[in-house]
Amino acid sequence: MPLLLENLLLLLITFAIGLALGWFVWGRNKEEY
Amino acid sequence: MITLITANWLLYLIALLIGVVTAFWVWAANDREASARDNFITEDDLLKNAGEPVQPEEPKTEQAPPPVVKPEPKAPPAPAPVAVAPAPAPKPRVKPAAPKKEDVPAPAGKPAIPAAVGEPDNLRLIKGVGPKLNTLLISLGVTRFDQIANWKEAEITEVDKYLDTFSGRITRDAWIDQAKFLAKDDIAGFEKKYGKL
Repeated sequence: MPLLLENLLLLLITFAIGLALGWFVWGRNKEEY
Repeated sequence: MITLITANWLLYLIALLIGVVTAFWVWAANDREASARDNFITEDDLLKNAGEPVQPEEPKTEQAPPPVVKPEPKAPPAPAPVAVAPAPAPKPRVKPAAPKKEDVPAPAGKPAIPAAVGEPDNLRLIKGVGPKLNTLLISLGVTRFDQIANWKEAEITEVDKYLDTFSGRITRDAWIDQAKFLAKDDIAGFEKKYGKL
């Protein structure tokens, strides 16, 4: 796999992890009502 | 891969932060709008119903600045009101409203409101009504948009008593207005004002 592609993939994964963390903190409780 | 991570760890950290900030912007921003509206309503209610608890706080903030400028004897007591006054000021405005909702338990039975006539609608289309509220509303005999759309102040107060922790949602989330659009099947009008269904 080209280095650039691997780098981009890792960046995307870390972004997704951040998004998931944020959802866990702020978005999760919104589904309770 | 590990060498790639160690070489660009800062880049990944930034990507992680961007992810968190995006999530905050998407989910927490809506909450802040809602709570801001909620605070506005409670402040408004307090001003209407009991102006006395709010008024004593205002002189405190007005009195606070002069002692800071004035001579030494009055300087020591000044920092305390300055530090204490702003902190409790916003809290009591919200706090009195919360215990009211929680102290009064939802009464048993059904609210005295006009019954729904016809096929039940999907109340979850109303923004702010989730699965829990939907079940609660159905158990209270609220099943149709036109039923909600015709509610007046009396019905809102009556139903609100039964909403328990969701008390205040009818006005805060503008159920009546939303239900008016949905009862008329005016999806375009609804989406224009409240976003995609």
